[in-house]
Amino acid sequence: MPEPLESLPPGELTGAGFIRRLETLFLLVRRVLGGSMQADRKSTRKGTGITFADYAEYRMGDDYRAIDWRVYARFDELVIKLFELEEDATVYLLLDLSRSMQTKTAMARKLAAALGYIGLNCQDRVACYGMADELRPLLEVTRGRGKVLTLLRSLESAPCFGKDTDFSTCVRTLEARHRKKGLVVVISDFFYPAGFEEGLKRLSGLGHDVHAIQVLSEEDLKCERKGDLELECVESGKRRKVTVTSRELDAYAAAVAEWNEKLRVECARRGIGFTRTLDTEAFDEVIRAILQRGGLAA
Amino acid sequence: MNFTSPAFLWMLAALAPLAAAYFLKVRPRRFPVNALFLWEKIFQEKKASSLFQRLRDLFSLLMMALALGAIALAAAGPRPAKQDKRDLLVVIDTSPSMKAKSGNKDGIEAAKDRARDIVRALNGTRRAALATASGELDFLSHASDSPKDLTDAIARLSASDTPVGPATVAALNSCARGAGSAGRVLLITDGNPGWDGLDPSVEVMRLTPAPPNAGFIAADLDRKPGTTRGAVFFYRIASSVTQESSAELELRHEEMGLARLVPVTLKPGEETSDTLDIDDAAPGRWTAELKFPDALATDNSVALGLAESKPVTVKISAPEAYFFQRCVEAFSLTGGLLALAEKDADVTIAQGSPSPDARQIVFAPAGESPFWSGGAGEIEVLAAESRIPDHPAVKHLALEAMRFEGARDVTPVAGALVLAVSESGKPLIWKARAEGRDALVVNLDPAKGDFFFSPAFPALVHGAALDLSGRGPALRSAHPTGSRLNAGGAVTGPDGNKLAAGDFTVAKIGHYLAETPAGSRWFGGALFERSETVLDGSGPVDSGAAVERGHPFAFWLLIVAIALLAAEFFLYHRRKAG
Repeated sequence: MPEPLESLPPGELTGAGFIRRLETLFLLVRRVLGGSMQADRKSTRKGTGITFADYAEYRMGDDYRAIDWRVYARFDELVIKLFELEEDATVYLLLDLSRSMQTKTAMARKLAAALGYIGLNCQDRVACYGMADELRPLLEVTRGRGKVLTLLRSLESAPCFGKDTDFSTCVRTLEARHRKKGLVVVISDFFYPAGFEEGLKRLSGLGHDVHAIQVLSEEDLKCERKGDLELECVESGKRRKVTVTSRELDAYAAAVAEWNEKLRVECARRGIGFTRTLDTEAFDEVIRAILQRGGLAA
Repeated sequence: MNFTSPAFLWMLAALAPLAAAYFLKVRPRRFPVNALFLWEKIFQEKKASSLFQRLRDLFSLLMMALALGAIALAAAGPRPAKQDKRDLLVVIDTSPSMKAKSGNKDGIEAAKDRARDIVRALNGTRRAALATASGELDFLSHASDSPKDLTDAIARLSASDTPVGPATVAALNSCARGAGSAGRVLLITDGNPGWDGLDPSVEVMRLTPAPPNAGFIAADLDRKPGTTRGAVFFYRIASSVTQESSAELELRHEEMGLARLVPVTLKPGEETSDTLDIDDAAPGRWTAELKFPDALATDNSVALGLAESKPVTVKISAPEAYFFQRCVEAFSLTGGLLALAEKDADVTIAQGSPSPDARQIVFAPAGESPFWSGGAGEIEVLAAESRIPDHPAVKHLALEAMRFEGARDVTPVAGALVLAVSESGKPLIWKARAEGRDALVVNLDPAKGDFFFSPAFPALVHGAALDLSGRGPALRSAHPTGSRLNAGGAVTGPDGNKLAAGDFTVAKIGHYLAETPAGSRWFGGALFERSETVLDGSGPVDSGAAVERGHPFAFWLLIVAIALLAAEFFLYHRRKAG
């Protein structure tokens, strides 16, 4: 079982080796987008970009410069051309820093670092928050390549905290802090005693693009210990004396599998992107897979 | 109930630290988990058994406490208040009949089991000694309160080939009387005869009687008179069969193989005997075997020896040779036992002074010689008596009827074996060895007192010649085990052990090889005891001896303790390691 970590050792995320790996990931993104430094991320909103998106009936107040006169000449109708809006998006990184993540926090922080790095280098606005029984800011909304080290340092040094993970409260706090819609990436094990449904529902209801990355360890999926045990919750410290036999171990593995499946189904139902990874996998491979699925990497 | 070591009850005080240690032991290991709520969901479904789980530690502690209590009680040595404290002498009958099988076990194994039962019950509170009874009473252990020593001794004992004899019974009676009220003598036996005169104070524990049996009770193999190659085999078989049965008798030579195979009919209550002629009987080892499935195998086989047909050659160098020659010729004609020879004879008959030959019979000693001294005057012998009545040279002589006329006042050489003396202690017949020569000196003048016409004359010549030549009649083809014997030389037993020259006891069944002056000769040791074969159980009756048997109470307490500890360990281990 990996050693529980309160925070990462200095240099783990700010070292040259790690940053080189982040840069490699970013280059993959650049190669596909091939754009300038201006808000490379495509939006679903229609606006004043250069890429044609659709026609719309002219209404009072619309910019008459957008009227397609050729269509008017042929059909005697006033329509305007709509273009894709190319805007600077806001990326909200919600990183689970509860104590249940202690054993896999390195993986979770690296994932957050990679996404944050790409976002800042794409001139997106990036905000990063630690999540447990409350939402703690690690990096307030910022933009620009120059903030990369700030992000990495804060991710590196942020301690695990809290006595529980209250996802709903954290989402409500995020809602109160930011009215602007954006991309919300939740990096967590999603082992929330109160459940994850309400939080995900609220996030998607706010109009955010939401992506859930579930980070698990082998110990989360199955337990090998048998006999008389005093189970202790790493977050709340709550204890329970139990006798674990093979039957209980099987039941636990089934319960975890059911929980994870429920998360996957919930994400699919709400149009939330979902990725599950083990803490033993390489973070850059996970990021590359996510980007490939989103068409952002070759 | 008494406790021989109540101090051990203090061990119960160890319950308190045991309980403390126990609760430390059963304290569950702490195991941090990330999703306790999932575990709780699982265990909520198992709430029904939680009462047992809560009580389980108490059950476990209770079992350990009971185990410790049982160990403490066992260590305290509880025993019945009215326990017999007398020491025991356990005597196990190891006579050959104890080899008889009854079911899957023979008598020895059954007796060992019985003895172990008794030893187990000693519980360290009294002592016991162990002895075996067969040809003699043999102590296997001193009085001991150590069950291990005694059970080791029991494991060592085995059945003997020698039947129980009067000397054994006398020794056992002596032990029983010596023990008096301070001890008990227990005899574990199959109840076959041979215990005549057993003291009533010896308590008899009889084993299960053996099923029917048959076996040799007598057998002999000897040269047929007047032949050099022929032989005659005689046998007698006793049985306790309840219905007429058929068997086969095989007679084999070790090298020549099967010589005779004859059917034998065993009839209830009857002994079967017959003689069989063997035309060409080689000397050496022979075996007679009764092919009959019965309880005891030991008596179904007889080891026999057959000597070469070689007469003892006798040279006469006495002045009055006529009667001596006629005597030797008579033996030569009737069975080829003796033969006259002019030189290189086995034995020389001399008169007056000894001859230079190696072995000789000297009549009427006179003058000085290496075998005697003195002889100045005659002595009057009123009555002669034997010093060694069984000696082969004189065993067939009626000494009290012999007239030793012409006897002289001579003194045998130092170390001589005096066989007969006068009423005044004067030596009349002796055997001496000097200057590498053996002589049997007969202190009488054969020419006087009609000695040549008396029956003592041929008997003395024959016995002395056979004895000096080393082919004495003491050696038959087979001798019963337990009998005393002098083979006239060194003997090698069936197990290959060398027996010292002189008298020895035929202790084992099998072939013996005697190195006599006349050469090597085989003979057998066989059971030949009717009571050991018939197994009629007519020996001492069971005394109904009440003796504690089996494991003591403390042993069962220990077993309970071990069972409790094992059960607790099993439960604990299951819980601890799943």
